[in-house]
Amino acid sequence: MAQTLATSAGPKSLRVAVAGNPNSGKTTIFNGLTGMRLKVGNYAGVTVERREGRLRSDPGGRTVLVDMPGTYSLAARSLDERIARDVLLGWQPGEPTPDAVIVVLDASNLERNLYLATQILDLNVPVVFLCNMMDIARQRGLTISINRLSRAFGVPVVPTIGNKGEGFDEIVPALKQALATPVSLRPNCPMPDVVEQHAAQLGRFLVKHNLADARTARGAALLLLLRPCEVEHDLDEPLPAEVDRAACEARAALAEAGYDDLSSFLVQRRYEWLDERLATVVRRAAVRRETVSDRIDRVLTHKVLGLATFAAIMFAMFAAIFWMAEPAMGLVEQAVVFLQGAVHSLLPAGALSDMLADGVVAGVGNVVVFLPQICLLFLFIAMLEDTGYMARAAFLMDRVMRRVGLHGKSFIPLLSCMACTVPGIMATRTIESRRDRLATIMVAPLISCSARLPVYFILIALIFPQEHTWTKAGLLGGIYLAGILLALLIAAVLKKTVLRGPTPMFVMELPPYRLPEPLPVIRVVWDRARAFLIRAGTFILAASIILWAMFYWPRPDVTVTAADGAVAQVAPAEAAPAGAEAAGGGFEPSPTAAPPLAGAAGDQIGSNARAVTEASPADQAAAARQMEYSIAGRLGKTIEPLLEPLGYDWRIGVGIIASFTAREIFVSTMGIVFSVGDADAEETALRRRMQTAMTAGGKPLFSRATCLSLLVFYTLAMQCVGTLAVAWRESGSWRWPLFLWAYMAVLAYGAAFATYRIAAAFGLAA
Amino acid sequence: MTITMSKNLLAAAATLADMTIGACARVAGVRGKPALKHRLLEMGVTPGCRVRLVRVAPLGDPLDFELRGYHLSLRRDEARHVAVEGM
Repeated sequence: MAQTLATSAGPKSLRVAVAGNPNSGKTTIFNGLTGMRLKVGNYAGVTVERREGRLRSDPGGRTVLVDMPGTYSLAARSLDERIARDVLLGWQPGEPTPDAVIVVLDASNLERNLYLATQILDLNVPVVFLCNMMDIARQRGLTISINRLSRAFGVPVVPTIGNKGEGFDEIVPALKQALATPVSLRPNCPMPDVVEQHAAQLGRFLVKHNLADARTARGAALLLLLRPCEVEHDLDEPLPAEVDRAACEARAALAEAGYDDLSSFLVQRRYEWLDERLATVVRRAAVRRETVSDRIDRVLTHKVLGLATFAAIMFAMFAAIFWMAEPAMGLVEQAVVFLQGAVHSLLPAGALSDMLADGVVAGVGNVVVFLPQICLLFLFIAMLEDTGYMARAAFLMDRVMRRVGLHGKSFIPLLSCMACTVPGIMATRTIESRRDRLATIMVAPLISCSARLPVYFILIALIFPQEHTWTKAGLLGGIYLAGILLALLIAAVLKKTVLRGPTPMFVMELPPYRLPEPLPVIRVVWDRARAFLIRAGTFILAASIILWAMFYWPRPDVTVTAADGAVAQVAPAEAAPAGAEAAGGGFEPSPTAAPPLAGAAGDQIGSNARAVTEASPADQAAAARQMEYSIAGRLGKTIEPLLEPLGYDWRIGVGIIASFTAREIFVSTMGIVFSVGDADAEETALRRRMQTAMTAGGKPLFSRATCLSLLVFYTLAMQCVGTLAVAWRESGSWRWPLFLWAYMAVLAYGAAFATYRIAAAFGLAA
Repeated sequence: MTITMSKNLLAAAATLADMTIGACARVAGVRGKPALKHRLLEMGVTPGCRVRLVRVAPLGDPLDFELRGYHLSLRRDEARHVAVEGM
């Protein structure tokens, strides 16, 4: 009685794959069977999520469930389908062949769900069907005979209602039964003799290459015959070339035998067979009943109401992310400041304590500060997915996205980028086609994110010091619009060049609406946050520390004063009066000043920033001097000739270098360069200082032309380590983030140059 | 009149894209590029299957069909490749 599943299968632990169509409730079932303790990662070499957990209801606890990607078929036309096929056949590297498969079926559309299920049956593994969402099927007027379904396919069937946990107790006994029943007793969808012969031949070839055994040979061969050779697919097929060749030869031979459209034939044959088998299993009510879901859709996809609701939902999502994330981000920033203070007071002053406080602590802050937005965005996305609204969003917006060669599913990830590009890129996982996913990732950073706002604000204030708020708002709106239009334009260009491919098919299921459940939603948020911390966080941290070091070393000799050394040569007129003005009471550093908004961020060059906030004006000048003397300062001067055509000098160059970890750091860096102290608390002081700053040639540095050019530069340049890290993780290659950085750099430089020249021609450079 | 007639004849049978909202029809055949054709068939759009056009997206495309107990949305361009009969 107490015999566990694992012992009934042998001494080692038992592996059970959980397969099913998308929207079949597979994830809910998987979560319900395994609980919250899961191992989450990716399948080897690809960015398809892999989840594994122990079956809770098995007393021995040695049954491991593996969640397979939700697919409609095993034809391996998409990456998900390829992984699903390879997991079942043991072709996926590092993935042992499962001992049994649980197939989750949506009871409301058994035919389409059984299409996948019978492909799995063909592989002759022990199988259990879960006939899920029985309640919804009943609402639709369907009566399903579980016994007949079980007999029709020769497998145990458990009726379940996933979100209520109904039927879960019967799954373990059903698995035992499946493991004990010989698979040879199951009916197979028979194919015409000539097809069977070629399948058998191809199967023998697979066995010879150790890609199948006597059990799986026929099913595997049929799957290979299903996919036309001439169809281009953007997958890295792990199969040896000779197998592909053998499959193509078999198809050619069958074409001569009259099956010139073998794929279509195989699919149709299977559906015919299924329809026959199901004739006595499912009874439909004579009258079509309108379900709750249909009624909801009448509103949510209505011509006027539908679009209005969509706009309202999107607006609510943004409002929440903008306003709810801010306090949490503020907390992160305060925590960073607190910890920096703690490090400095606990450790003796010196390079070590500076590195810990301003490199490591601030670097961790740079990572953690993304979390509030990631968590909030995925909270919304998980709820939209679980309710079924995500598919409707794609349905509503496809017309727009198709124009640039993308799928409706690209809309929400791109929209999310207005809050933060990092979660926006992470949200592209729902896009099936790899090319479209990449195209979406490549244009995502062009959409202005919230981190760019502090930079926009100060630049706009410099451009329009006196103008009405509406003028400023107009310019801000223009920048956002320009980013969006450019993103769409570049997506269209990419889809015609580097990522050339047909406009993706839309063919998409609109699942019935469901109430989201809290646990799976939290699970998604948790997984995404964890994935970000582990995969991208380390990269961002490393980049932050390197950048800190660039601003920290080398240290100038303490005896160097504003009157001599390298500083004086370049900007003597600048450093001295700046100090003098501050000393004359120009501004009072406030000890209780709030931490910089940019924050965590700002403190990455914090050794200077802190010195400035806490110390005397003389120290502020010293901080500015240190910045100039450091590697970053020198680098700024080295690239000055490159920046001059854009109307910038080395000080702006330093700001650009510093803001590579996060754009908003530009503001705090300017604070240090112009010896203002806490740039955010003293924004007016900073603005005044920037207005009066002069170039070496004696012209105002922040002329309108320069500010416009900077505005354009910050809209278009890839100034965010987090985005690069996530693009690297999500594309699975360092080439794409490199390309991203490069094309955006060229674009930003070119556009900023043009802006400066045009503005200068209108007399705005003086 | 005759011109439109012959045009229709050339375009052969009615397709899913020609259906009116609420109308039912039976799938007669699936055409088009192999990738699209295969996908449609695998989603259960097979000859003999009954399909109903439920609604059209607010911007005029895509379309929402009901078949085999579920909702499938297709663009007009894709729906054009599915011939139907008995509207």
